[in-house]
Amino acid sequence: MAKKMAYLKLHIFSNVLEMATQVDVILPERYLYGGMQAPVRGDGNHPVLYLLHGGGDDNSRWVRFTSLERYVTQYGLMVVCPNGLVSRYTNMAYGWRFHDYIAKELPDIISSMFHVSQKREDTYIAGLSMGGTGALTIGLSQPERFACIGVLSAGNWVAEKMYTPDQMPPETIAKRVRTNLICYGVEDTSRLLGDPQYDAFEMARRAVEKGGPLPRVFHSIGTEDHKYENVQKTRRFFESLPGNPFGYQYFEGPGRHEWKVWDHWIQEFLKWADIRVD
Amino acid sequence: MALIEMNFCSRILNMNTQMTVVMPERLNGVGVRPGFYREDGKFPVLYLLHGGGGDHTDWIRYSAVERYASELGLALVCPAVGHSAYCNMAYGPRYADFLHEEVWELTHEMFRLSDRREDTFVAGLSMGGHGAFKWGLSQPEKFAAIGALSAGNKIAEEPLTVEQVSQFGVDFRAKRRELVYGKQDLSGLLGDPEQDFFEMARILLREGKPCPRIFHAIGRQDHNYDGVQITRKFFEDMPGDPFGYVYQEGEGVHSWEFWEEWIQRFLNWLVEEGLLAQKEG
Repeated sequence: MAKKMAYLKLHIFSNVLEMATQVDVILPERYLYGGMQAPVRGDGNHPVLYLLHGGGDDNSRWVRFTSLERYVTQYGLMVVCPNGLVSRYTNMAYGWRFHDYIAKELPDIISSMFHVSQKREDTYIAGLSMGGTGALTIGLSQPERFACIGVLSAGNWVAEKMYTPDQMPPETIAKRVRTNLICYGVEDTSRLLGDPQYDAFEMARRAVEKGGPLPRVFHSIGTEDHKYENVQKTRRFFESLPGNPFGYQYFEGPGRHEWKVWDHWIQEFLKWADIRVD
Repeated sequence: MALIEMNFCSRILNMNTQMTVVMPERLNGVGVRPGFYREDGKFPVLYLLHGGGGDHTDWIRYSAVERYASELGLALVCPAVGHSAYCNMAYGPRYADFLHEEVWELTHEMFRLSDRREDTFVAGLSMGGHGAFKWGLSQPEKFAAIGALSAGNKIAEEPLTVEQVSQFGVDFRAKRRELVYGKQDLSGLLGDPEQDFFEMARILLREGKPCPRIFHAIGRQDHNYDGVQITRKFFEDMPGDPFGYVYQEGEGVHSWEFWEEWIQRFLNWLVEEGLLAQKEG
């Protein structure tokens, strides 16, 4: 079956960012080549995945570096890829409010223009690396909005230890410290543990306390990834929660911090997410 | 205002194609007034058609129509049809069906557009003006108004002469007639309800369908000027002026300077005539 969806480049104005920005969107079409029916919801309101790129990439990367459009066609899933620059998807201490833009404004803009399901069970968020952290923090800050969170090659940023010169070059470490400063306002983010604005563990604890439906969490990483050890902290956190309230599942496989890994695990995430197809 | 560049697969053309869509936002950025944003969140829409050999990017690139539409809260849809004259080509894809069926359905399925007749408009320049007449008059139940710039009923007009032609040349135009219509002499198509929009107008009147308003404009120095007078005469001779037909002319040739000015005049006319609402009511 020839599988096709529509690929849209949006040039929008964000009031929260106070600037113009771009969004890549993959949108289900009702008909495929030859007039075959595509799996589009009967009511025309698409399930939607907000899919976040890694640090310093942009909205176009997922489409360019994977076969995403081909993977999502069978689910009739709409995909929304915003641009988060190097923000770690925070409301930056020195910069722009990317958390609020993606968590609040973008869904409003997308819903005002397209036919999008507003149901919790139809709303997903995922990302790789910085985008995995973003998916985790945005997803857990609004647990009532999302059915699933997909975290690829990432974890709770503020729980991670800064890398040492035997792990990466000192100038790279210096850049990461500087990015910490502009995103979080501190160089050592471990000080932010317990802060519900930044700490995904604290968000998760509060979500559990508050009750109500919780998103399921999909977590994967390559065993050769430089983030592997750090990511185990996030794994231990979720695995230690009594009763596994987030339906947390951890996966690992061969690979480094690279697109080959993300190309594989995004497909696994889509299968795992159990997206309803009419 | 959001500018959306869209790549999609057309089931009628049986190929990938592109379309530009402009969707209103509540805020527009620096130096653009916010447009009227309806409480029901369904946007009025103008299908805006390019000229011969153009594409879905022309209106955005060569005019500031996105800005004019932004300030009116109007969505724009610009499809691409090559040199097809918005016809089901004798030798080529079925662009009339693509436009009249698929573009309509697809844009309404994908975007939150109003499906009410009073919120829907079609306009174009040159070949796109001819296309706007044909779409508006063959599906009058869809459109409140038609805007045709620098174009008339091509079927009723003589082929342009070497002296008149400003673009493409007479040889290319002759080949194009062959591909689009399958013949050189188009006069035989008069009365054909698929091709002749005079006939479409007669049919819709006979069947008592609603009449879209018509705004028709051309530059006095345009090579199409004489041809366009045939269309003007057709509508002005109609008893009772059922289309509320408006003809205007100004200084100008067949060029973007003219269309830049007159697409604004068309939009202003929609507002002045109360066709494009600018407040709740």
